[in-house]
Amino acid sequence: MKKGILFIVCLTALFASCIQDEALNPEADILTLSFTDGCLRAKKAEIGNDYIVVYPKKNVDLRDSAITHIELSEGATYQRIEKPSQSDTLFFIDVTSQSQAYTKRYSVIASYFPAVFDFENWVVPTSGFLYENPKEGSLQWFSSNNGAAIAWSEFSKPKEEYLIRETSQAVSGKKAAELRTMAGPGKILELMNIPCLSGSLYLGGFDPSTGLTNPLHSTNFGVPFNDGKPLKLTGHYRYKEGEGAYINPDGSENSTKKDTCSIYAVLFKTDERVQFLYGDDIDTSPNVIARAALNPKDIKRGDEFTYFEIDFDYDAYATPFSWEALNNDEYKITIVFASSHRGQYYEGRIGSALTVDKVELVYEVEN
Amino acid sequence: MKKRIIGICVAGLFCLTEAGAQSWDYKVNAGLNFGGSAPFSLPAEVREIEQYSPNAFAPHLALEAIRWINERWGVAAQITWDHKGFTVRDRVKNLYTEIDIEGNSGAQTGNFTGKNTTEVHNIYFTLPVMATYRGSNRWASQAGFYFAYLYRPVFKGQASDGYLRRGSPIGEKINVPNAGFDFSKNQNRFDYGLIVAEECRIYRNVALRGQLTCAFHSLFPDQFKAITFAMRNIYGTLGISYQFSE
Repeated sequence: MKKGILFIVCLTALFASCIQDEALNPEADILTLSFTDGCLRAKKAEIGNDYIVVYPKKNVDLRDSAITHIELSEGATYQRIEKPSQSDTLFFIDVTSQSQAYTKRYSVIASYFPAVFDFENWVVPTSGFLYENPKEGSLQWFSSNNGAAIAWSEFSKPKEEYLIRETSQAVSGKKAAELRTMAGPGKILELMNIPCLSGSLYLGGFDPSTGLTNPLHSTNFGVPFNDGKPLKLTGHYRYKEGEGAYINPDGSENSTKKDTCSIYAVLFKTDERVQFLYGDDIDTSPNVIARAALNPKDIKRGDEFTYFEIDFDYDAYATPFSWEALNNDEYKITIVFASSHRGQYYEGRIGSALTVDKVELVYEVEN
Repeated sequence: MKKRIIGICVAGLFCLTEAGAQSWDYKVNAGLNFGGSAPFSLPAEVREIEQYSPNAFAPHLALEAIRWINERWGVAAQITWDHKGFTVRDRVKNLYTEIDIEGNSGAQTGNFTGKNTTEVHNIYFTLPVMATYRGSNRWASQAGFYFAYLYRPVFKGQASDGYLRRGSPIGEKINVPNAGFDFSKNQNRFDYGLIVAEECRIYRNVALRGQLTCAFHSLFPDQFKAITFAMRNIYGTLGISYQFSE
């Protein structure tokens, strides 16, 4: 036995002595980024893996503003690359890893709230995948395509096979947005079970890091809004309940349960603690100021588009609306569409489809 | 498969007998295996081995026949039942891996940073063929090759407390608090390598036996991408040998 112990000690020592010097860091991330004080409406820039969304204040051209602070992956270096032509992308930041093996280009995108959402312009938000999300002017919609791409992990999956896709059956212009509920990938890495994926389209951001662990926190709801006091959400929708099985979160089927879609908007106040609302607190957060939601009882089903006009309800919420807070850039708004109203819990009827077009946020401007 | 290997072995021994046997020894060996599967040099992505423990009970049982050519030299063959296993907990940084998703044509590929715990409990049928040298009445040495068939493969574990960067070290970051993996079936079914052994007779027919085996190739085939470095079986055995009297 003594020999045995000696042998184990020797083997462990062999392993330990074999640990090589740490390789130079191959990562090239921007961790935090700040511009000259007073340029931005949201205090923090929203940093994705290869893009940064900023909401500049009125009359501020961020191309003239200096980067006052930037924090990168250990050992990485950066270079600001000015862009000659004018577009939503103001400039690029190239980050080169400590190992020099990788350079990642971040696009710095200035985002403004548009007057109407017409779903005419679709872009590929994540390089490597083929799916598209709509973009209205400079404002990017996020969708459950972002999360589904992680779950499916099929780089070559055509954009038509994703949950949200463009359709030519439109109310105005040439395109509208179609959201569908589909079968999910099932069990992933023994981490979670996704029996069903529903189409959702929303204003805000997407954090892929929690995509496989706490997906309700991957959906970051809310974009800065200070144009006025929201009064109504209007638009056109067409909803058809799926003919497939109703899938429960555990993957079991329920043939009698009815599915319905969701159309709503939420105005909320940000503070030190709350920068976004998430899938698990968008209904319950005390930061909500007002909400406009299409009543499930009023939802029409069929092949025709239906016009909707829903009022923002301020009375049901404790925190009153304040023009001062609005002008102080403390408010954010999100608009959410979902093809299954409980889709965030991975349930819904396979085949349920919601098409939306010509959506408008009607608001009152301060006198 | 098991039957086939035993058959080949018995046939082999029979051939030796036919060649005109003069002196034969038959033995049964029993012992415990200690060791692991490791690259000859750890890749730089492995930052720390936090814990390594051989399986507490990894038995080795062998039937051995030795045909003596002369006073000192002989040829030995065995049929061995070998349990080879270990548990290792390590910390890796930017280790490239590829993880299949059940019922899906896609796979999560990328670079994982975090903790890894791997448990191996493989059972092999092994056929060693060794040259045997009897130095004295007390000491004997053996060296040769072994061929093994992996009869029960178990290679599984957990990736935890870390994150996966999709595709490359600059890809999207996905937190991995705890994800299981099971590469049991991905292992090579055959293993072969070098074997050396030393025996010291301590009492009549009983000898202490120590042996060392080292595989020529990895546990995994080259096309297996989840583990990109070669992991060779390197095991020692300590036990006793009992020689049947003629």
